[in-house]
Amino acid sequence: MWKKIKYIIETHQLRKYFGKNLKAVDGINLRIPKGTLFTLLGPNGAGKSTTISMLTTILPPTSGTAYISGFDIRKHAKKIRQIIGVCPQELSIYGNLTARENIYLIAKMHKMKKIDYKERTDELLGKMGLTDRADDKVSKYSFGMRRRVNVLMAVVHDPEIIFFDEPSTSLDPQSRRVVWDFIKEFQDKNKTIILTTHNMEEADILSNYLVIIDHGRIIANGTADELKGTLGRGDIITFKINSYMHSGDVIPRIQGLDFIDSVYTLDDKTIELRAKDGLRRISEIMETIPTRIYDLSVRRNSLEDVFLSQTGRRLRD
Amino acid sequence: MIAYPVLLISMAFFAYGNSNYNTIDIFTITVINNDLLDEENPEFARNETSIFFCDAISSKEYQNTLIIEGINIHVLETAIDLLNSLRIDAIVVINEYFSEALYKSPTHEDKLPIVDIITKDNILILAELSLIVVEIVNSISFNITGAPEAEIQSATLGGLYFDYTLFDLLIPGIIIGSLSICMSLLAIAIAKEKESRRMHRLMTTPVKRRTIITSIVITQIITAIIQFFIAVLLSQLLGTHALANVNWNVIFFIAMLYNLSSMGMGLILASFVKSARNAALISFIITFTMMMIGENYTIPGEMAGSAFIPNTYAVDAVRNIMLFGRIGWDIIGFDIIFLSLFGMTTLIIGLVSFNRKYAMT
Repeated sequence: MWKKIKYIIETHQLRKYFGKNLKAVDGINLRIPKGTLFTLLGPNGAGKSTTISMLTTILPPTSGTAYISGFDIRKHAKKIRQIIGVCPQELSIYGNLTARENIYLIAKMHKMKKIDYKERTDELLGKMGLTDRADDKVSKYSFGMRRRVNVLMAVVHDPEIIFFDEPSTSLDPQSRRVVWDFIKEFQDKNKTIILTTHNMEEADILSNYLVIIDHGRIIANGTADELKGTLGRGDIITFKINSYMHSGDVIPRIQGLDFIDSVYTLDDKTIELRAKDGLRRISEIMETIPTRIYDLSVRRNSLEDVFLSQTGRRLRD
Repeated sequence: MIAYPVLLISMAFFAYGNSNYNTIDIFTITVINNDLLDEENPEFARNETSIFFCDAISSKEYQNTLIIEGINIHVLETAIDLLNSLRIDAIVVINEYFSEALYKSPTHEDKLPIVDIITKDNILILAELSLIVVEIVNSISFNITGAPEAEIQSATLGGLYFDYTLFDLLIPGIIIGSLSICMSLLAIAIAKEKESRRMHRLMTTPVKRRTIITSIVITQIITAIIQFFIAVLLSQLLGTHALANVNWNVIFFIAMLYNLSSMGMGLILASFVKSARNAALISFIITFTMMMIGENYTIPGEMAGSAFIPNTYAVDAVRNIMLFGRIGWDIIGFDIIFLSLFGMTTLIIGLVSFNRKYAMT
């Protein structure tokens, strides 16, 4: 499954326990080739941010090893910090500074030359559509604009590896698209990007490779297509039935159709089924149901379904 | 940064800026009436006013304030023995010609009615008694047409002379109190950085974590210095009677030594609080408790546990230097040693606590 090239990030049985009972990260093994956009997908509290905190040298692991570009996170923290950029989930910006000053601050901490960081900052502000407001205090910005500044601060020094922790959380669709395009651009430049998200669409669109994490453990890994493929090919059809019938009365009838892969209930009145070529043969399915249906939808497999199949619950639960 | 010293000094000035002060402490005193010994100038009804004075001291009005241990003890040595054995808090000496001076005798017209107050070494008792005695003598004067106001000469057995208002005595406590607030400011500043995750971002840059934390501490030290100067300047503007040749450099040194403790405790607090709000609340409780137990604004030696609080030593040293010019190693040496040890210890514990939270490299 893993390509045998130099791994820019490699972990072995990485663990982080808080106290005796809380296993935030419980033996994670990763091997990430250079230039990959690698996604850690999982619900809140799954251990994604803790993993990132260890890889970015903020938190020491309880046990296990991790190497970033060949540097041990325990021994060579300073060297690692020179080659990484981190965009935290929270808006870690200074509201009383301008966007330009916020970016300059990080550039100076990375000991960039003034002429370099000025030019670079102008370029980045332009890409994020912030040039006109670059000298306004960030406290006067909208949430989406602040989020964009938050992203820029992670990349001003042109790092080899960039960690984006939920970069598009709470963004409107337009700002989210800007951020995604911006991230993709780094992917094109052969930068290694580590993305954490609980947004399936984000993971699906951006990732080269992803792992699904739950309760501090990797429960599935692969490309988005590979993971969705594990559930079988086909369409997912969801619908609700009339109130006087129960799903238990309907399911045996649907299971009788030979092209149905699986049928299950989401609640007493909602049924979901997976069927090869389901969209074309939907009329055959409807004919087996002895009652009126409503809220019908047809879609392809998603990463949400992968998570559901692995854990028995939805990502957003 | 500016609010605390301005607010507290203004409050102290308006409350205690003049000498009218009602004490809540009870003092045991001996009165030596030297006025009775003089047999000259009988035409000026000598002795009567000093008897009025003694009557006033033992009157109902002051019975909750003053307890007379001995009156008309004419031998000062006997009274000093009582003072040294701590059986009394102070000796009040009504001087010769007190009556004549009060009645403006022609032969004593250049003299004021003088009362001496002597305590062992407690300058605050001296201050409080001075205010009471002035009040009593002047209450007698007001009944005599054209009588001059009394002059109170205050001294400790150690030879300190006292001529201050309670406002003057509060100023050292307020100066040190200003620096206590820096503990809150440091804890809140770090907690804010942690809460907003800016600390995480800064810690993923190549800058050493020690450098980051040092820069935050230095910012608060600069704040402390500014607070110190605001407190000193404002107290001077409002008329503190600090000595003319007071050594401000040593006071500044003491203040900065105390500031070490504030910074250390701020770091300890910052290493475990989760939010700036928690930091503000907990640091306020600690600061307030330390000011109270550390006797910033009360008579030294009265609060249990004050010996373990750095405020006690800092305020004591600043009072000695600022008000009495006592700067010798024998006077403030222990204060300096305690503040240094306490400051260094808390600072080291603070750095270690912070280090445990964020593996510091």
